[in-house]
Amino acid sequence: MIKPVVRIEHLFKRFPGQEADALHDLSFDLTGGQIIGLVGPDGAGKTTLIRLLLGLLLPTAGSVSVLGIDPENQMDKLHYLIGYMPQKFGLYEDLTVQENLNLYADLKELTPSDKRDQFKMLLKFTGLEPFTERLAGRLSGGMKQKLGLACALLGDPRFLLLDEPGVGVDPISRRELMFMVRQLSRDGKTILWSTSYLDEAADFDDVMLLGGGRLLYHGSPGELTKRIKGNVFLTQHTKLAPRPLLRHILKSRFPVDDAVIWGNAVRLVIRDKDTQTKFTRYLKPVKPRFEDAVITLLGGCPQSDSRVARNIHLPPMEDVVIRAENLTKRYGSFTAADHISFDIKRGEIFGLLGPNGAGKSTSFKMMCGLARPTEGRALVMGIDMREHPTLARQNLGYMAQKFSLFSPLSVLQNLTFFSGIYGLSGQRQKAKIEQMIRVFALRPYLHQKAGDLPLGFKQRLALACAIMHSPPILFLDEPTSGVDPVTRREFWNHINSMVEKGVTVMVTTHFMDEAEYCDRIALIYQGKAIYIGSPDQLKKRGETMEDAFVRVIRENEKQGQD
Amino acid sequence: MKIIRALVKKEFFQIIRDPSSILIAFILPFVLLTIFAVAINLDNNQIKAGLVVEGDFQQINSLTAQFEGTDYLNITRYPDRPSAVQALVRGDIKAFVVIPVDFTKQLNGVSPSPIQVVTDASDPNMALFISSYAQGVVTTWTQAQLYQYGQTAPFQIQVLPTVWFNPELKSKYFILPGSIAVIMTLIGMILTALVIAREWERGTMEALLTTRAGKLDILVSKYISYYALAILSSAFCSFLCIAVYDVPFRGSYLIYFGVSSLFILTALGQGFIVSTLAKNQFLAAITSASFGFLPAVMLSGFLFEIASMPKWVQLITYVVPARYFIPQINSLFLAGNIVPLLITQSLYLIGFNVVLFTFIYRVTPERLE
Repeated sequence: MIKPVVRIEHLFKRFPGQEADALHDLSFDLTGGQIIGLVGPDGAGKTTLIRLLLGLLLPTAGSVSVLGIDPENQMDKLHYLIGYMPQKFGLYEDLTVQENLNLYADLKELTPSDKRDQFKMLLKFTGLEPFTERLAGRLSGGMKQKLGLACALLGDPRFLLLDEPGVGVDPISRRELMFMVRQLSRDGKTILWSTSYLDEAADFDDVMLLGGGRLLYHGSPGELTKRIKGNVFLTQHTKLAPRPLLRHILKSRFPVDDAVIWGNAVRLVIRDKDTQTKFTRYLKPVKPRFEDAVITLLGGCPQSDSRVARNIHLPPMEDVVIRAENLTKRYGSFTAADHISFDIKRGEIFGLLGPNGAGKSTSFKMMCGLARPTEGRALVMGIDMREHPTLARQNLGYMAQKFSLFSPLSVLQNLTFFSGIYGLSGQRQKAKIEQMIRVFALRPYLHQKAGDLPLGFKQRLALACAIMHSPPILFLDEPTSGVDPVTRREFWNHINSMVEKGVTVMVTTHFMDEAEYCDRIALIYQGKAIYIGSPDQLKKRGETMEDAFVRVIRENEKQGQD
Repeated sequence: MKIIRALVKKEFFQIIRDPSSILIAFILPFVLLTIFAVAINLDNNQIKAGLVVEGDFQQINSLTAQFEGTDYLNITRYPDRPSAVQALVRGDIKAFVVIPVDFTKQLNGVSPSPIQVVTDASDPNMALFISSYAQGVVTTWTQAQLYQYGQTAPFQIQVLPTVWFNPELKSKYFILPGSIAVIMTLIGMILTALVIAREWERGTMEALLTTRAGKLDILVSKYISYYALAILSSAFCSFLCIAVYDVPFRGSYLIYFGVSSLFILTALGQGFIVSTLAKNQFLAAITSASFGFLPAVMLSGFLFEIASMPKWVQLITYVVPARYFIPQINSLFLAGNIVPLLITQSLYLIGFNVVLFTFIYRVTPERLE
């Protein structure tokens, strides 16, 4: 019998001043030599669990043993045997790649000859050899992540803990990292990889699903997916497009566990056998995905109808409401956006997709009038953003990355403030605030500071603040970044209901699967729009959206070289 | 040892590459010292005052000339009392001196010769200064007159001020060394208040805690690096004082280096405490300014005499490290090595450092909770 790498028995963790357990009665063993995924929504307790394993936090009750060592009493000894990459990679941005490596090598007390060998090996392994003299702060997200991994791997640890290594990193870098980690596990290392991207965990050896501090599932991802085998379907409607169809399904309280747009169809998880037989004519069975199973296990997607659009009545508008004409932005010799052009029609969801630093934020800022284009124009309802920004902005609802709320103000104060700056007052303001509180179920949080809200509620509040003046156009910048899949579904439910009433949406995202919600997308890569069209069309080029995305980028790179 | 060396190296790279640390260590002291040197001036030079001479006597021309000739007063003549009163009320002058009609008559008699000094006591220090200065002028003049006419002076008690250590009574001389203490409190605290908060903010502290670096290593390496930066900054300030602003230095540089080091360590320690407890750079900076800088200015004896503070405020001054350093630095600059003073105050500073370090060591977490 091989000794487990981690043994946890009846582990409880409660933070001082909190009423609920952050971790509740966890017991499990982790076997060595494999990649173990730690998945779950935000606030499920993933980071807390990792920190308990490292001895950075102490259990409230229960026992933790890592590599046979008790992290509480023998933290020093444990740190000889493990490697850890925290969420922000733990790098010193004002040190070069080599200096970061030197520092961590010294802190792990490597001998000079070990140092030499391991540097050589790790730099080669991570492909960072050409960049040793570059400051870590100047590296791209993907390269930072590789350097973080290299630092964690110094001293040849047996057990590697990675906390959300995929956040803020583009899909190509994520794949490369995954490839490297697989190689490490073949060498006999154990890797614990925490993530809120469910697709990442789908082909790990072992998966732990945390929800609300409890261990909901532990086993191979395949086993979990098998549980809903035969319950996953695609459905199409002859008259209804996927989005209205999805809205209809969610509105009618149809007994589904999950429903998302899937190309030109809607993907459903239905466990109820009666419903399955009743509608069998319309349902086309498909292979279940890991994500389907996880959402089902977490309690399914939010099913209530969104009432946010109930009072929206838009005046008739021109067909094309947003237009980008040769948008170009140069910073010195660097071109952040290179002649990007597109039209967005009324009632359309248009997505700007691309890795970090590709230029999608720059394009987005020019569209909002927050950055001046070096060349070209951005038109919103026919008004040039550069010439009449204030006029054009009256038609806009804007929800920024990281949610532009005033965190020291309470929920109610934020709502009052934002409705005030959008010109609402008196009875109308009161009614609007009341509606937002009802629609987004903010009542229990009214007097809590916005900064202390759970992420999902912050996002709801930010959306509420952005749409209080019933704008015909919504600009959303990374609205779902860092948000777990269940909350994301709820968010899109609100957006879809508004789009149904004719609201036009422009959204940036780095979640490739969210492209599914868009009518059309623009793929931005190295400042250029390398693909503009329907997501469905793009998906034909690969098995998943991410595959297709990677392929288009590779093709584009090849063309550039020819 | 190897770990501390690695961490110190890291800190130095960060200091060199971070323009804000250079800004804090050298530009900020330069600006502050210049402000202290040029703007804050407690010397009463060229105070505007009035002079009213009632009557016209040859005999006292030499007295009025004395008033008019001094550097300390800028004298305007007024024909009569009421016009001088008006000028005082308007704020044109701070005081006026009246030499009465019967001045010489009384002068020749037995009784002391009266003059009147009217001052604007909304600034009590200045009022006091002017009245005693006027008195001084008249006394000297009277003596000279009596001598000249071959009379012996009636017996008078005379106070002859002898000013030691700062004979020119230049306030710059005691403000500038004192301001080094104030500046070093601010610089030392800001430098360190930011660095630990920064490690927490950027998530590097979490990474450090999972290596073999213990909290003692982390603390000691930060002490070493920022001590080095702060002592350079202090040397820079002292150089400015001595070479640029001409403040004399009469003590031993070696002793100065020693006591400065002790004092800088207390400032760094206070910064570390703020930083460890705040875990946020902005909060840390604000806290160091209000809990470090202000007490160092107000409660250290730098500008305001501690002995004349209310008893309970005096008690507070005992926990302001600058209180112990300012007498040392003032005496080293102006008086020389006063050994008993240096030893007792240094012992206080050492005690302070021990308490601070113990406290920091206890509040620095080994884990994230």
